[in-house]
Amino acid sequence: MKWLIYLYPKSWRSRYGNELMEVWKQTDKSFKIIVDLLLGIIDAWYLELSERKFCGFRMSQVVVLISFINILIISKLISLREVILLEQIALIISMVSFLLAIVLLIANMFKVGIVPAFSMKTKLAKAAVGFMGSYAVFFVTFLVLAN
Amino acid sequence: MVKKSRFSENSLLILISLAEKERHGYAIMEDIEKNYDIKLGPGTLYGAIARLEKEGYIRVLESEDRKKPYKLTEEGQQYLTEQLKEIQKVTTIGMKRLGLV
Repeated sequence: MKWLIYLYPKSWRSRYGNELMEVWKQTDKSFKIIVDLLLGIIDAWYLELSERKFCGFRMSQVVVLISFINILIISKLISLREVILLEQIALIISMVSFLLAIVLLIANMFKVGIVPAFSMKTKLAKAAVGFMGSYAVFFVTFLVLAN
Repeated sequence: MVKKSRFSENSLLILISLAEKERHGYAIMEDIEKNYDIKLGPGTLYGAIARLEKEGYIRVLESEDRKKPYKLTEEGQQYLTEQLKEIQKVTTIGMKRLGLV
């Protein structure tokens, strides 16, 4: 389960990573401890995103804003017609793809920096673009089905 | 008025542990488990340590070992004293109202 440590933000990992690994070695590897580590990862990312800025805004604010825009679009479109199963599936896949694309993009920004993150040189960037493509395809499918 | 603490109970327990002597992460965990029977996970422990260090309440001591000891700073000592006084105030009122003192 050592790979869990790589889910922490890079700056956090370089500061506390070795120490955390030492403590991790000495503790039992129960389910409770794994949950504790996962919560620690969320907490560390929250701290990291609260500090980092993008165009003058904190990253956490940017993520929340994007999420609100998505919720707004969904709420508008869902109220247009009776929701059917196929639409829902397409919408869920597109939203999950979008979320994964954003997460990978942000992770890549922390890994290689903001500007290089938008190039296609790293695996994370390629995966993010792939998920963005999936988002576009399924969102268009959803729009077609909804209309 | 009792001020609301910005830090969790775990952070206070870490500060209390470091008030006695310098300790590294695992030693802090052991001390807390021994005294309060609370088992902190590594994620919680280092989350709290990161916040406390950021606030300047604790600082890491240079060490070549992977286990780095932490020390309570003067600001940390001051903050802990204030927090303990607040807790004492609440405890005293509670004990009086329960007729225990």
